[in-house]
Amino acid sequence: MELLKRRLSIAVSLAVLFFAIFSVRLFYLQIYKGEEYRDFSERNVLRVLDLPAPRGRVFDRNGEKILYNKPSFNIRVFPKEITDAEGLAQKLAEIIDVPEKQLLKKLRKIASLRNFYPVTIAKDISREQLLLVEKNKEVLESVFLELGHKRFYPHGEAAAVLLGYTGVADTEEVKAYRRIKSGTMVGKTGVEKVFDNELRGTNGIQYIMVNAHGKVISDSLATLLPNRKNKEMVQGKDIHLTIDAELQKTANDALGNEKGAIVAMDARNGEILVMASRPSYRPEHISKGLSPEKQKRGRKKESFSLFNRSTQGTYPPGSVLKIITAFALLEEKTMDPESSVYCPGYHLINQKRLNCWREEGHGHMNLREAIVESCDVYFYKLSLKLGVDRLYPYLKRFGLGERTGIVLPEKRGVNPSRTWKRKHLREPWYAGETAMLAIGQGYVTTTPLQVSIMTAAIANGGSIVKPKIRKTDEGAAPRITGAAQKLDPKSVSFLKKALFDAVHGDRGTGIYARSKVTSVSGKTGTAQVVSAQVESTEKRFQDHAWFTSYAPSDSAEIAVTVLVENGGSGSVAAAPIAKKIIETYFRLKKERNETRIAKSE
Amino acid sequence: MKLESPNLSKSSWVLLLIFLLCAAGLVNLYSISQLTGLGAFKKQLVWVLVGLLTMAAISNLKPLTLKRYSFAFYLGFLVLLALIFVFGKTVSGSRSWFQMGPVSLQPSEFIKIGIIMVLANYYGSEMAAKENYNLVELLRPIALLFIPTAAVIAQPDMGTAMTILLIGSSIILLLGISRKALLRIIIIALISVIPAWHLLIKDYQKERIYSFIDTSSDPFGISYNSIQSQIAIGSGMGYGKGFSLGSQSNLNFLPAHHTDFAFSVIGEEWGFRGSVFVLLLYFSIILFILNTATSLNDRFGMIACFGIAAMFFWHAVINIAMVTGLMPIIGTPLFFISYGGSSTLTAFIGMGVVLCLKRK
Repeated sequence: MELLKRRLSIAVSLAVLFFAIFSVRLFYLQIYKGEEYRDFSERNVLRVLDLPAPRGRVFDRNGEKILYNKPSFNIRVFPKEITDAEGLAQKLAEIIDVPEKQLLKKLRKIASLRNFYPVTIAKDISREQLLLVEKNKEVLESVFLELGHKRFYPHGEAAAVLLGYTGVADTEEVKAYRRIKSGTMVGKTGVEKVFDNELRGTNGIQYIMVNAHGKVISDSLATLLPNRKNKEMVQGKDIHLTIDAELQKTANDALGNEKGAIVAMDARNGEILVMASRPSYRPEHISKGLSPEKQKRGRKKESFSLFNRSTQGTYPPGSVLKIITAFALLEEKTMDPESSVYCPGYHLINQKRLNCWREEGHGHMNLREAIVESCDVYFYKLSLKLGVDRLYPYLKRFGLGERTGIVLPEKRGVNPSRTWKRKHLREPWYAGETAMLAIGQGYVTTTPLQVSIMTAAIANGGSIVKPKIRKTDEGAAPRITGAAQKLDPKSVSFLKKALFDAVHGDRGTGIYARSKVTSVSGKTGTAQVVSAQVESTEKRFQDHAWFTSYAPSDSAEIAVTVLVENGGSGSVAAAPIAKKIIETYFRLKKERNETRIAKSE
Repeated sequence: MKLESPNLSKSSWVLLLIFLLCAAGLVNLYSISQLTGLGAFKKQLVWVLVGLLTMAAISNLKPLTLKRYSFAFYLGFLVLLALIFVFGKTVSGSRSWFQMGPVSLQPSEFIKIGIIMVLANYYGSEMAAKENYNLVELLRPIALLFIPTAAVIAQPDMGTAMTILLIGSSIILLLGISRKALLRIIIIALISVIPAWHLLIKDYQKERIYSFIDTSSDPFGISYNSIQSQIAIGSGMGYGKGFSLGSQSNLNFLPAHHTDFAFSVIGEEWGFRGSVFVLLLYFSIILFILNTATSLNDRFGMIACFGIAAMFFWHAVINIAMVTGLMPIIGTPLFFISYGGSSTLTAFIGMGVVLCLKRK
């Protein structure tokens, strides 16, 4: 008992000791250092600013800026500093176009975050709004104006689909990109998306202390948070594209209100000069706010303008495909190209009648004439002799049903075969389907870009190029894709002659592409959307119009592929557009040469 | 049940201390209500009233009754602690709460009283009296201490587990432990530190320890709180900024200012005189309990009183050391001052036990 009492007295002294220790500690904090801490507490408002890095600029092949930034002001609020949400909502509602009630709800939610990171209330405010915020600075203590960067598209709709747009990273993107904070702007589609890593840059961070009136107090942060260093923001990298902005604009205007796509590339090396897709959209509408769900749907849905028809649209190629069929016939020596086949305007396969586009028939046709006049019967008859199994590898060699290797999102289309049909439709292949395939109808679908690459291969003497939209230092040598070896020069030169005649011959289907500026070679295509039995004048049942071409005919520089959705005849609807682009290309080339010479003098 | 019962009036001056502390706590909650509303204040008021009644009720029991039911008391809370893992509610990472309508209870607070009572009972008989105990003799009490501790660690609630261990160890030290046994325990503890560090201590807790050792490792998340608390207390200077005028507290720079950092609010608003006054009240209560222990003539009462003194002592030491920046941040409430039903009730039960034993 006595022992316990003795030990209890030790406990008493321990308690007294700790009381003394704490008293001394309190004396130290409150009396000795009190003034210093008082000072601190009065200016104790920490702000963490993320300094948004401007995204890299995008240039066209001639060094013209086609996507850059303009300064914009955003209204942001510091959650911890909201003391009077009602008052703030009332004041802000007078400045920005949001109902006070809604604003109050948002501010309350923000205030509950209680952290140092500002939250954006309004983006890209007008000059008038900016002045109002500045004028009411005293009242808007928790508000701060952020100098942001908004994307500016000098060519508006013309390149909008290709360039894509940016938006605040969603949760999936935050996860996928790593090292980015939520709230960062990332590319959502097009060039903005595929080169996002380079374009994005790194946001900076700035830690500042402000006093109760929002005035910045320097240095105090170093004492309080010695390890929190400000981080400089790193500007995004610039990207140089192979696109020719002027030509892109021409293409966009040429399509006008039609739906469709235009691809123009340097036939020698696959550099894309034009990649137009209509309908397009006004970039400023997107940045002003399109709900994320709507965007997501829009990127997939074909009728929507965010969809890049050049690479993501798949269409039956129609007669454009006869170029490959003809190549296969030549290579497989199915017939003597000079020997004639009679076209009565139709062909019967197992009692089923397949029509030629020319009801009265073409009469006697050899291969060259069949290409020039686009005779269907010639290709029906000989493709049946050739067979689908021998046609399929040629379509594959030209890249049908395959990825082109472009960095943009793309569809592969369909290159049908017996195996394909068995797998997808669980049905055997019928002879009539070979005939349909030979003229680019039936199951086969392609993207305009694929057709353009096929055309470029003929134009450049047989190389399948890998399309590229980014200018690199690799030089102009064509990069041949995959397993596709060079095509046989003899067959290629035969086709070149035929494609020249298709534009320049008296009976050619591509005469509307004939130009005084340069020689043009090309092939029309009029692809049926629905089977011929449906008689309708409705636009969506009209044929797709194709024209794929290159110029000059003998030493091709540019390959142009035009697709007009439901445009009708390729000869009438598509060929003139291709001509316009080819002529603009040479006009621009001449003008640029002249200015260069003028400058050097 | 009447507060004027003869039993309580004998200790009226300690009742005054408790009143004053509770009042300080309530004033504090009222003062910071601008941001959080009066909800916490009202709830705490109810808890204080419930606590006073509980204290009065317990103090009217016979000391023998307390002794007889100590094991049942312990066991009951142990069962509650186990039930947490079935019905418990997780708050900020720890599964420590029972939610019943507007009331939430934390059995890990109450178990402290249970442990004190069961240890006092175990060593309370005159026959058990010894100068020093060896390890084997201490095995059962250590087990009684470790079972609830393990449950609390599993929640995980390291702050509470630590106070439980400190209270238990204090009692064992009071009883006396042979040097050999002490050495062995220290060795065992040291050996188990490494696996415990890897298996039991959560990352955020490690960060707290790191950040205390090196204040610059993450000034934002963790020692930021400590710094803000020191700024709050320090800026109170001699006389404080005045009721509800604490800018640190009311602009919410101070985390958990109604619970674990309540003392910082007092420091800021009432200055050195206010905080030392509260400190004085607190240690007076501890001294009162220790004095009661010394005045008693049975071992059970002495050990039980000492245990309750230890409970108040360690809560005060950890909390105040934490808010004044002498220790890493470990969530521990300051009895009577911090908002919280379970801790308030536990403190009142403890005082009830002391007053009951004092009656002889």
